[in-house]
Amino acid sequence: MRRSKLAIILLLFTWNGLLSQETGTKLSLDLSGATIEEFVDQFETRSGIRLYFQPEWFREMRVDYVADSVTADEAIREVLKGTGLHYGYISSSVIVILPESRLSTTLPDILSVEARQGSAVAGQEYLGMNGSQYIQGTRPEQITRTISVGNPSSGTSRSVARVKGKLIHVETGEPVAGATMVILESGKGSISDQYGNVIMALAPGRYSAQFSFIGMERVSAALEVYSDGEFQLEMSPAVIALNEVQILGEQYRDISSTDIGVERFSMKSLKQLPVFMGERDVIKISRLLPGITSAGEASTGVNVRGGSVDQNIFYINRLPVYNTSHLFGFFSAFNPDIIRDFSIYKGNVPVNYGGRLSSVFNILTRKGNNRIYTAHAGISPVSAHLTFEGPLRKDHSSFIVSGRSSYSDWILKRIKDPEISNSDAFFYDVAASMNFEPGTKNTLQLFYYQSFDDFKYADLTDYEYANRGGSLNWIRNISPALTSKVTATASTYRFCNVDKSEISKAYSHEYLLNHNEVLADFTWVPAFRHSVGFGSSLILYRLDRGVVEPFGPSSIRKRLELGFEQGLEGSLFISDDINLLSWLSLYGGFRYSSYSRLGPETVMLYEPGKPKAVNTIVDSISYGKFSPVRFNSGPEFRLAMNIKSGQNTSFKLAFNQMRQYLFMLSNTVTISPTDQWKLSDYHIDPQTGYQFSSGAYHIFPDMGISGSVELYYKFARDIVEYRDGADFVNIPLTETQVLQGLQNAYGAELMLQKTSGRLNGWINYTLSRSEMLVAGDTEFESINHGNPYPSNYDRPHVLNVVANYHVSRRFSVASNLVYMSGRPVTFPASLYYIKEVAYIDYYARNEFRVPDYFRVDLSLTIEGNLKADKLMHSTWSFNVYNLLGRKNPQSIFFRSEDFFVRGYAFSVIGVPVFTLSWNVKLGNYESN
Amino acid sequence: MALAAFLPACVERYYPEDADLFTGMLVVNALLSNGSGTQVINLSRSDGLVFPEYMPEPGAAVQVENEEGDQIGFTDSGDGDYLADLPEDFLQEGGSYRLLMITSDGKRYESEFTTLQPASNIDSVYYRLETVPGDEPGTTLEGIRFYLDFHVDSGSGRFLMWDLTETYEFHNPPYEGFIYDTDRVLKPLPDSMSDRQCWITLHIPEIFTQETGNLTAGRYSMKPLHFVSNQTQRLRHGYSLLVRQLTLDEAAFRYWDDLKKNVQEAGALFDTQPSITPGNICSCDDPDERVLGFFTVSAVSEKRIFVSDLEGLDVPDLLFCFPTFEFPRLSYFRLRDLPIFLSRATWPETGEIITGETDRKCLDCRLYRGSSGEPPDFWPEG
Repeated sequence: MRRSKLAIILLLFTWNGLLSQETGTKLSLDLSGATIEEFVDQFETRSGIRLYFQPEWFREMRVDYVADSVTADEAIREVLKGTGLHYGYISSSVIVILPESRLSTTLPDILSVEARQGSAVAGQEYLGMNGSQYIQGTRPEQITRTISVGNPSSGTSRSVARVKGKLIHVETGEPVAGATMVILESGKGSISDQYGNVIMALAPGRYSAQFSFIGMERVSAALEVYSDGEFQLEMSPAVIALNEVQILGEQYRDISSTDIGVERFSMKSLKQLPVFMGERDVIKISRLLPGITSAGEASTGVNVRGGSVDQNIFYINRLPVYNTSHLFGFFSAFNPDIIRDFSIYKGNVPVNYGGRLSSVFNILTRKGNNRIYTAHAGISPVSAHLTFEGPLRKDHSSFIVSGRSSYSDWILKRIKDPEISNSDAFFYDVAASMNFEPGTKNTLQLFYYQSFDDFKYADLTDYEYANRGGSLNWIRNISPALTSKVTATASTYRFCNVDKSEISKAYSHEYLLNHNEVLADFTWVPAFRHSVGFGSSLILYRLDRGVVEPFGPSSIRKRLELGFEQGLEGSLFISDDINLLSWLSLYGGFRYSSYSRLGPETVMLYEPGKPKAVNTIVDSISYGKFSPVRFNSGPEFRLAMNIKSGQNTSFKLAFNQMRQYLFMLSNTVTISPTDQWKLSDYHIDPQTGYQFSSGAYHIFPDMGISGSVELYYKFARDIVEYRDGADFVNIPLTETQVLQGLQNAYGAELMLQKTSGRLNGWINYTLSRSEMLVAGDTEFESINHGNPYPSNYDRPHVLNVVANYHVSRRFSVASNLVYMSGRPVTFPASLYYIKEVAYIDYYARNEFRVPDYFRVDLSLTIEGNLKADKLMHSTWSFNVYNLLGRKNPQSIFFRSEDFFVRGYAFSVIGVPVFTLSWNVKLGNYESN
Repeated sequence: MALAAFLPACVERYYPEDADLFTGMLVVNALLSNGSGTQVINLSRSDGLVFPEYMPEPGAAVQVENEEGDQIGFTDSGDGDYLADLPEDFLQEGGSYRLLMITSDGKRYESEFTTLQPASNIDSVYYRLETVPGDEPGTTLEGIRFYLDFHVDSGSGRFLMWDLTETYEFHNPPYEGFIYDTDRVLKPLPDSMSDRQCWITLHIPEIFTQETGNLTAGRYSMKPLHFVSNQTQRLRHGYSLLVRQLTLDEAAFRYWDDLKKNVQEAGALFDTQPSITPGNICSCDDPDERVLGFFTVSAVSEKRIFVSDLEGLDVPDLLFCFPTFEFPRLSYFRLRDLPIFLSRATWPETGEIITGETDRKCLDCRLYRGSSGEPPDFWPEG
């Protein structure tokens, strides 16, 4: 970096207008990608008004403006919006356009001049913060600043300067991720990564930049680019003004990026949504998005675009979490207090992710406040939670620690059933992270996570399961153009299950999975509108499927080792995201992944042409420690294209390829806490998936509404399905219990969202199908007689409505409405009698459906007072889950009762569930 | 697992539409055991789910064949039952057998060969007092559960199934009976049409299975069997349970075990897909024709337990078979509705004497299903 002092001058400027007058003349304009000259031409001929200006102020600005019958003022205001230029009438037929500083009638205030080596800080002071007793609903709007990047004297020899900005939260010092920086002249932009960095390659010159993010004040600034350089910009939280509540943004991103099938949320934006039993839950929220469903209330995980639960990976700060649920899926294992935002990739998955066919959930935690110590706490009928955070060294490093625990099983004790009231349930989760920024170039983040669940069901069964892991993220800005991110993670998942239902066959079983990963990920911005990513990852899986041991003195159970498994997954990836033409962006990604199953292991060989079963074993092979048992590898192409049609509309196309080397052994319809993860092996092939998707996106800026339609078709091979009566506890040879087949899924997802105004929220409708086919050589190796059948999570119609209404700043009402087709179920084909007992003959799998699912939830949130100067701020929320008390069947089952077979519908939550929860934090309403 | 029950979970009746996908399929129940006595093979046709009926299959030729080709014919005794007395030495340990059939419409069916496994003995059958959840949430039922101990050793069969038959003494209430027949005269019920003390023998409609392959040699204790509540007369005047321990081969075991899971274990939070349970009988003419049921030969050992005078369990004297409160207008009955039966009883709370219409079974307990007016041979004296 060159040693030079740069100053950034921030101008607080109030434009009064030189001379402003409205003219009655109406005109029509029709400009698309027009140069400023073309605009002037059309404007002058149609309005009869002459414009005076300096062409270089506009540089390469393009004008997209279609309007019918507007006044000249409206037209010119629209075109100049965000350029930092202003206009005034000299006479009724002459308009002068000038940079505001030269026209100012008041002197600019120079607020802060802070210099750093080769970089600069644009500070800002809030008029409303210190000066007023109550938090203001509006802010002075026309704050304009100038950000200078690079050294003016270093000349303009280079055609492109690499500009790197860091966006941080003014109060906490936390990076602002997912914020957009848009150069208004070109319409091009960049999105800040999880460390708050935005990178752009720009020709030297003066631009108008706009920085925005959900829940943050939009910042407009003039950007003066001289040469390569960095800047830092502080963004402040938006006060929820009644006319400007944003719960979901990303509109710019939807239109401009090549992302397809991506959902993003900031946790703050979801504060008002109704929750189940007072527990805010990212996984439950994700199920309100198009294409994401679940098998029912008590089910772990999600089904994304017709894929099974084990086809999704959940990362929290890049740490994989293998069991994401508390209490069998009633709650998720992530404490919402520490979550900053989360993204879901269900369409085109970026090339630095892989390993699962359906989706990647990427949860990022908040960085601790690096300025002051602060705390949050809350209590609901189920659990209590506490978060504490603060600086380790002011402005440089911080920590955050959060914990949540269920505190009693009073719910269980209230049930009169003796087996239930003799049950105990307990769970907790803790997360802690530390952030260090030793210089401007390095950021280190250390993260630890642990979750635990214990459930004792009467004297019959005990379940215990836990996730634990840590990750280390190191981001280094090698140069303004090149950033590296190195991540090391270690994650374990274990469970222990004790079955005491019959003393003579009582057993305990412990299972352990280790996931150790190193990932290096580079981002390089070589040129204007061009970004390249590349990197590599290596994962070592170690699974101890455990030992089934006799439990108790009366048990005569045989000790059985289910086996130890080891595998190594590696990948190399490169991607190129380029804005080729003003209307065309391309993303090309290539990932090569490989998998080696490693010994020690003994593999059984079966008689060729016969079903794999104990009685067809003919031989076995033994492999030594770390010797390769099987090697698989293959390319994964990820391609996407964005065609922009005008400022507010775009079309996208994508092709996505994925490979998956581990899967879950589950013979139940929903995932149970004893389901084991298993690696692909000598006999069981890795799963591969392909997805074609397309989408159309449109923004209606005046209404604050955006809409999208996405279509997808997915095809996957070697999906693992289970034989009837498959057993993974008594039989260690998994290949005798599973079958592999094909999966087909397709669908259309419609989404309309409104992100501003007193009333906001979204509506989505998904039409989709998901189908399986397992057709082996014999009936024994087929499922459903070799005919296709709907998957357990096939839900053709899904409608979600989420609405938030802010009655006042302190009181809001929100409601969810969920409608889904019932999930498929196997019905009896006929009935027959043996010894006067009715038995059921099942024939076609999943041919019928349980009745449709319909649920309405409601929540009321009352915020404490809006005094600016107070010690604590508290929030009460009152929630009703399943307001209508509808009994939505999770399953339909049939039992033989003497001479008849009776059908029953089992609904997990058949009544409205009311909860009241209380949350408190240090500071005022606005505090983070 | 009923884990969901800690939340306001709820189970309700569900009435499916009648699918009638595969009605009229041949159903074979052929479980032959190596004990002495008459062996029964039952043939019927499957029916739909709504308003099902038992539909016997008459007029078939049924034979069991051993590996040597010796065949034994079964004779149609009506109601779908085909009977034969097998020669003492026909079913032998280690021998393989199959079923051959020709139905009245001329179609031929045969089963796969199935092998008679060595028998294993029951150590003991006993019971414990227990309280179990009732049908309504929050309620409980008191009663006894039977348990079984058996031995697992390398020589005995790996696949066990238990078939239970209960016999209990049943008393009708001591009400005076009357008959109003086609002669339109109300008369006391003749003794030949009245019996208040009976012995009812019923097959327990539950399947109990245990695989022993994952167990070490030793005593398996407390295998739970069925539960008998105190809300019937079963435990009041004497109860006898016959436990038959069947040793099956693996295919037969899988069939019965899957059948058990399908009808007895469904309806939990972590439900499994119901199994499609193919039998071991196929049509010789049409390989695509589905035949339900299973042909099994099994070694059997038996144990009987008698329960009376339970300590610590109160068996209430339940009021039942009380006549309708109003004396009917006898002359209104049409001829084809006669005879009707009436009884005279004392309403316990008021002492009021009531004469009204009653079910014939309430006067003659021999009419209950599985009932007999004579005690069975094994019934204790007195």
